[in-house]
Amino acid sequence: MNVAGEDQSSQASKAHPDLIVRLRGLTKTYRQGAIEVPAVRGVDLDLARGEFTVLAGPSGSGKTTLLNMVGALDTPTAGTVEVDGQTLDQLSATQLAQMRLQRIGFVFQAYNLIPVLNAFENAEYVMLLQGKTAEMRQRVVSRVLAQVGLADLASRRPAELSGGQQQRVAVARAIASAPALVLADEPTANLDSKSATELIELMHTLNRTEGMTFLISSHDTKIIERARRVIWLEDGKIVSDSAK
Amino acid sequence: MIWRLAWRSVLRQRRRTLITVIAISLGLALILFSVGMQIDTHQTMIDLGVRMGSGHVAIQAEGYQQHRSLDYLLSGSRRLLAQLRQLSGVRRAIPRLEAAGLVRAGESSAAIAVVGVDPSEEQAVAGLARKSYRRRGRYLSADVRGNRPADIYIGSGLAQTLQVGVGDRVVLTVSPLDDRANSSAAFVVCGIFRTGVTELDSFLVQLPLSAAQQLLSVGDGLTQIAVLLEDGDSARATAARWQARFAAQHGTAMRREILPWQVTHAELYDGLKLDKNFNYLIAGIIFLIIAIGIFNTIQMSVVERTRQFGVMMALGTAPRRMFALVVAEATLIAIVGAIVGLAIGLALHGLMVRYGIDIETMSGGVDSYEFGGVALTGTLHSRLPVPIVALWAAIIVAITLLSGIYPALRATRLRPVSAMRHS
Amino acid sequence: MAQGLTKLAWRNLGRNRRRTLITASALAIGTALTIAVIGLIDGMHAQLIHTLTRLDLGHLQAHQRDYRRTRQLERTLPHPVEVRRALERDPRVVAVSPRVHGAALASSGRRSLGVSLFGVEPRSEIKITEFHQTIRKGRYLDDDPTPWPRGRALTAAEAVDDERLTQQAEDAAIAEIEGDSQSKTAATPARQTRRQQTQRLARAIAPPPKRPPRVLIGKTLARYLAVGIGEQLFVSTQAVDGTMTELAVEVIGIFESGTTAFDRTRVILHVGDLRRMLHLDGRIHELAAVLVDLDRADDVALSLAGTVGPDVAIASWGMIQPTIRHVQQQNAAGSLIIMLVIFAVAALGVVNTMLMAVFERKREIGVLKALGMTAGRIVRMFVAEATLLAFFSALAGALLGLLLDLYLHQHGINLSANGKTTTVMGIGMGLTLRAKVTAFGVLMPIFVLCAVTLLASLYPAWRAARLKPAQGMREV
Repeated sequence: MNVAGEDQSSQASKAHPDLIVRLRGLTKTYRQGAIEVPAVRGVDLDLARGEFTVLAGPSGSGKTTLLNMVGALDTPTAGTVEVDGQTLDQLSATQLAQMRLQRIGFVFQAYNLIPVLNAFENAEYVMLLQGKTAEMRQRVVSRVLAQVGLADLASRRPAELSGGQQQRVAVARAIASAPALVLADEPTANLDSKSATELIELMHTLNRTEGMTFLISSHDTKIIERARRVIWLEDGKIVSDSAK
Repeated sequence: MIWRLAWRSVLRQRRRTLITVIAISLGLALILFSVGMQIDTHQTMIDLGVRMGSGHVAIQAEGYQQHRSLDYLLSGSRRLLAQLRQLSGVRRAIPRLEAAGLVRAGESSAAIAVVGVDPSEEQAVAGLARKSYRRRGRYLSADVRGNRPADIYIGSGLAQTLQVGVGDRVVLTVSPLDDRANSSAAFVVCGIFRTGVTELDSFLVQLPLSAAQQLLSVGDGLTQIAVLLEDGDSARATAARWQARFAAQHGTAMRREILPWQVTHAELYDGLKLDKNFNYLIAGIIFLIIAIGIFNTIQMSVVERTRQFGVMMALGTAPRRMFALVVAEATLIAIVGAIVGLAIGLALHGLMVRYGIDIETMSGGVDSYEFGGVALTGTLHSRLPVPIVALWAAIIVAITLLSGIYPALRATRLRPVSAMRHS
Repeated sequence: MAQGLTKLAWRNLGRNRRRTLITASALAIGTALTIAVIGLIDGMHAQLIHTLTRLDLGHLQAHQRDYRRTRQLERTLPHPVEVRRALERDPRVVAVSPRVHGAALASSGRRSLGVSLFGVEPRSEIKITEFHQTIRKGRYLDDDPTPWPRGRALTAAEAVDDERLTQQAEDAAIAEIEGDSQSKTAATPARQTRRQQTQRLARAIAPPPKRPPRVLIGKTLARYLAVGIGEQLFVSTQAVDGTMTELAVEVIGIFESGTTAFDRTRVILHVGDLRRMLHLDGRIHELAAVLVDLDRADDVALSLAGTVGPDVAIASWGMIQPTIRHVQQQNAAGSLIIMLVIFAVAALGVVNTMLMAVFERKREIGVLKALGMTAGRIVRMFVAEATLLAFFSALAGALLGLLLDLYLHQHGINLSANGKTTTVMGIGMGLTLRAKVTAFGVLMPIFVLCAVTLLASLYPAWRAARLKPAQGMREV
């Protein structure tokens, strides 16, 4: 699986070698009873490798929906999603799972750690699914836990960690699998400002030192201020796209 | 990894797991207990039935089973007996001569079945001759002492009808083979038995074989040779094999019927089958209820973790892994439940083997329980062959796994986005 | 408040409909199957009792005091006419029929078999037993007995002959017993003559019937003796005075009752004929009666016993065959155990469900407690929920169980596949079980289910009541 996945990416990436995300005419409409509610309407967007992009906008502007479609968690009503050169149209549930597993790291608003696993095991989980060797997992997870500053708390279960610590474990989990893209949906929403600042710093450092691509949805001004590129979304449409 | 995750999830819901394990183990223990008791009861009844009756395999002249008449006598029985006793797998070969008769004492009479037996053989076989059935007197003695009347062994019901006791004389009238007039002879009651089966206690008498043969004018003729096998379970196969071998040796010149106990004791066989199937029915019901309980539990545990499962899927866990995880949890519960159930069931079995349940206590004062023509007396124990134990343990594990399949399938059908929104 | 509690409980159950339904279905299916099993067991008992009472005993019998114990021919019922009248007068009695029992050796050609002779009054017997409905070939008995001339007293000369023959016969019998015990009575010419003379005298005292008496025999007996309709059997039996009688009878009907012992050994004939054969004149052994209500047979027997004098014993079917009660008791205990196990397992499911509900609603319970709801009330809330769940599950289960029962009553279930009958405690029983619906058999499981569920809900309810308000509210 792993080998096959890399094959596909190297083939497909010939078309747009420097683009990690390429959206064209992306549209998502939810049905609520008889009424159709458009959440995302015709979004075109390109993200280059190594970018640190924030998707900003008010609640209900379609940030999370857009992020979910980029993350292969949700399927668009119309338009195409290309991630790391791979078009997501018409992939089966298993293939989508494979896509998420190999290319994408997630950080969720509500941490979403697996309660029965400790910090180390949570961070290790995706690598396990990827079929990495025990030796490699040990090495990588120790490193990423150290990077997020939790080397000492590796054996604690989520219930024994603070919110900020849990979210750092989530980041460790997201980056341990060396994804092409890390998606974070309102990662600081449930954190106090100190923890939030620390988390933002952590992500920037990872972006700088590891060259990891981040796409973060947020309306937290602290995040927006520090981003190199900010895309404003309103009513499911891009209203501005500014890079520093 | 799946196992570790499954194990921890199972342990995390300690109370629920415990309840499920109790349900599984209770069910298994109960089944093992009742199956063990049933096997022992059935084996005991079959054993008693064939010892008193026609053996595991009965050898008769062809037609005897259908007509029960002296017209169908086994010839060359002495050689046949000797041959049978040489065969491996044969524990005992028992000669029997059965006819109908009328027994009289004073002004009372009764119609009965007369069975001529080899007293020493019968005592070795311990059928009707067994000591626990004897109420009074002694068993038949083989030696015919001069002109004195021979012994007769009768049941308690008949003794009451005839108003006779040990040492009293009775006159037996039968239709012998050689002429149409009836023939009568006097016998002395040597002992009185009580089996609990009315058919035997009121309607059957035993005589020494030689006396019966003389009374019926059949020479050394027998109506049946009852064969006890070392392995009673092989009765059908053995009967078929012997029948084939006999046919090959003698062709159509001499016909014999070689019948397993399932045919000669059809009532017993069918009765036991009824009992067994009734138990299966109840086991099935109990298992069904257990299955619904397990299904409910697993289903709840999946629904409860919808969010967690959504996250796992979002992180790239393939649907078949989600399936495997839920099934793994069910497997762990099943195995723990099966182990606890086995422990309890086998402990109960051990107690039953050691102490047993007295029939009299169980049935509230009746000292024997007749079923299918055999009366069960004494103490019930338990018998559990390893394959049976393994079978039921496997069944309960399988049922648990099956109960986990639907919830597991549901887990694979979760959509990560909506699952994660679940609270 | 009680109504409010019920409404709250009802709404709470509706909150997680799938879970409620799964738990309810476990309870309902458990109830339904328990009802079906009890129905089958009751059906088996009903069948056993039916066989016992409607193929043999009737519901009630009157005998001479010692007859049932000894079954001796001479112990005939004292004052049969008065006893019969006493029985018939009682409004609880539907029908009464007289009977005579004897034993004989029946032979046909060279085949012979011990049989029991069952003398009945054909017209009244059909109200007691159902043998007439089981006739497979031929027909039932005639209403009137066989024409049979009365005997006459012996002349003086004949009396002398009789004395001489009796003496000779006694000598021969003593010689037979004392001497050569195995010899047969046939052969010698002297004996032959003596026998003929005796028979002539016997005919004068007891002449033979105009034609062979007509009898019904069982299917197995017919097979063993190889006789068919219209063919004759020879019956030799000992009369009440000790004389041996040999008589030809004609088979006019062959029955198949399903009870092996009856089909193999029973010969049914007119009570008048059997009385003549056994020299019983107007005497009978037994009066059998059928009652309005067979379950009250014991009471009827006891109340009648006082009215018929000390020589007469009146017994119900249950007194005559007490073993069937033991079978019943044992099976009742068995089904109770089965029921408890089924419901115990189902109750574990209830505990599980209720515990889930408690944990799900921790926050809500916390709020309720904070608002001042007492622990007792919280317990009652959960117990009410469980009771409601149990009640409706039991109702649905009872309905399903009734349907199952009705199906099993109509079609039966053969759990033995090949055979037709077996015996339990000596009573023939068909292997096809048919369910019998009784109020007890349906209501009992409902009651037990509700009780067990109620008990099972106490633990979760107690846990809910023990929650501290703050603790409950903190949890998400």
